[in-house]
Amino acid sequence: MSETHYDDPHQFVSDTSPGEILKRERERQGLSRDEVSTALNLRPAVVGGLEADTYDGVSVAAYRRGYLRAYARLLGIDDRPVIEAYNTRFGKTESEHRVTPVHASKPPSRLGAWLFKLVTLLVIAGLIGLTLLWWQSRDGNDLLGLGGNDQVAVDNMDGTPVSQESDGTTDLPPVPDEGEEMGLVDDSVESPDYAPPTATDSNIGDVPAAQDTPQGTPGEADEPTAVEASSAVAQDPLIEDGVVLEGSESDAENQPTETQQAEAATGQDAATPETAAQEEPATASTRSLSLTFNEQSWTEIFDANNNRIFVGLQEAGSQATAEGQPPFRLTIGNASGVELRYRGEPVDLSARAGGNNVARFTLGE
Amino acid sequence: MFKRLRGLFSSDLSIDLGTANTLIYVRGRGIVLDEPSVVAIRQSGNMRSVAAVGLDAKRMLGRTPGNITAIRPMKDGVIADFTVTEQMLQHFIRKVHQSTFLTPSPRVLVCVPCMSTQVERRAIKESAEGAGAREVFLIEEPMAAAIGAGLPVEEAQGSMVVDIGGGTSEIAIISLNGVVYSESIRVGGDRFDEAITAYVRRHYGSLIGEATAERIKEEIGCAYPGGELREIDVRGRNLAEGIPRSFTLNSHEILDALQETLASIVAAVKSALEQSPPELASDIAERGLVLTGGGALLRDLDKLIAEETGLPVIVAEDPLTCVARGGGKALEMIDQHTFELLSSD
Repeated sequence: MSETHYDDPHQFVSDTSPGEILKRERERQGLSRDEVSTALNLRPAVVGGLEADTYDGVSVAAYRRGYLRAYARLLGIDDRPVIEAYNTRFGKTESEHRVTPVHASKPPSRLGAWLFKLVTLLVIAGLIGLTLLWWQSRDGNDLLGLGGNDQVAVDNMDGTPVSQESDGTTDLPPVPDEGEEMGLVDDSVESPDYAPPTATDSNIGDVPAAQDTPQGTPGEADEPTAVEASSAVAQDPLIEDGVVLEGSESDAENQPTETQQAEAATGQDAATPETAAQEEPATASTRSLSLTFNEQSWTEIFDANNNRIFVGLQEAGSQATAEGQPPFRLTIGNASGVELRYRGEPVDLSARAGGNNVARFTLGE
Repeated sequence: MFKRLRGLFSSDLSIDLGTANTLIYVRGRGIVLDEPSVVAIRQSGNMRSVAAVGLDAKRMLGRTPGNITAIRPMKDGVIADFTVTEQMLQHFIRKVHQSTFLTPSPRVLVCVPCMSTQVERRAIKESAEGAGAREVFLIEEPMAAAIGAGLPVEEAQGSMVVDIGGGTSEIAIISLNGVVYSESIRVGGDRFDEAITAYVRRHYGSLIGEATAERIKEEIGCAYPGGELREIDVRGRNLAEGIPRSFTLNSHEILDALQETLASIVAAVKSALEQSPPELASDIAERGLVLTGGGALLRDLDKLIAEETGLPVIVAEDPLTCVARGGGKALEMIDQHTFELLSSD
């Protein structure tokens, strides 16, 4: 029955509106608009709009087309011609309702994401750079520290007291080399000027001889002899240097004459040895290093001529003295267990020891 | 890095991974693949290999020898067999990218049922990633269906979508790019087939297969009485005699068979309407609800729902591909702005 109606819309699809097709079919079937609106559950106004192609109440294209299809199927006709007619008349503008700016207010997040990434990268790079700087500066400090030690060595060359040494550990003044070792000297400080000559005098003989003298010369020589004895004991282990020995030998030659000769002569003699004696310990102490090993340690010392003046594995409890031309290049293993004295001053090895407790440094430059 | 490079040679895909059919929409090309979600697995010793996927596999369904099993890896809208799903997706993605010599690594948008659990969503996501996707987005099926049907989802107006798929039916009320209310029932096209099979067994004492039941549904199935009476000749195995018999079914019988299943869909729609906020309910009453999915093709289903709810009911254009097309549109919008329609993982 409806075959003719299927063909007709196809032929008139270009000029027939969808509403017209539907209206014609509805009237042909003798249906009222109300009946259609009841069957489709649509308001009669909407059905009227569909037939008049106005679609006032229906803004969304999907619904319009849906209603048209439902209407066509209700009438029992093919819905495709109706939709085609609709499309040719109104176009397939499905996107017309997509302009609502729900998303439009949102900022494009892509740029934000890139910025965030960039900033993160910059921050990370900055942190790495700072870490490197800090690392380098830390290394630099270490180097500076070593340089500081060198400067200390330079100071020593000038003869300035060792008390200026690196970490400022105030040491005793350098002069009382011998006195430091024996507290007794302090008692006899009354005549410090005379003490050195007498000390060198007493070096002539052995300690018993020195002990004899007080007996022989009572009264006047009491105090000096006390000093003699003590300083002799003190100097014996220390001063073995050839120069000193020579000096003392010369003094020894003078000794017999000393007692017999006039005071003036002895005064002159005493004056010359006095200066000599004052210099001699100084030169001796700048040439010698005293090492006390509290723990086992391997030690090697080179002097200015690059001669190895001391080397070997030292047992705990041993002591050693090395002599040579300063400055010395020292390598002291197990530095924390070794005490080093130079010019009578203890040298702080722990400050110079590296991470493996080995101290490598130059002394007396 | 390499994936990104391969991504240059791949097109973005929107996949409607359905229980019955898998559809793939390629950006700029439209729907390029519409095949049944069926995989035939050949077992030789301990080795399992894919014998066929899609249409070829569906032809094997119920007709396979012992060493081949044709299975549907999706059940009720979610993954039932993880590895097979992955292989099926891999096959489909490769099929879509036939021309490229590099293994494709596209961005993929997959539609998931709105009531699927986090675990099920994660499974779908990992499955797509395993199939070679560079990036995986998930979107809820009713949202994709609404976009595909051309509904104004971004407007402050309620739109109601009833998406009747193979395994599930999704009912959702959408406004301002969000799902206001959603309901997912595990009733869909498969349940129609099962109902027809059960009806034939009960009334004709014969056993018919899945494929036959589906053919009956497509040819003479209807949801509302009063339509034209249609008939179909069917062959099935008679249970009593044990031999194949031929018999004729008509659309009234099928309507009778589908009553229970249809009632559950109608009940879900009514329940959604009951729970919708009054403003949105008035919008829906004014404009009606939209049917999408393969189930919407069941004859006179719109009439049934219109009759039961008293609302205008329209069937979307090309309801089978609505979800995939909607996913494709969503995919196109992803680049324009962060897309809030996407489901959270």
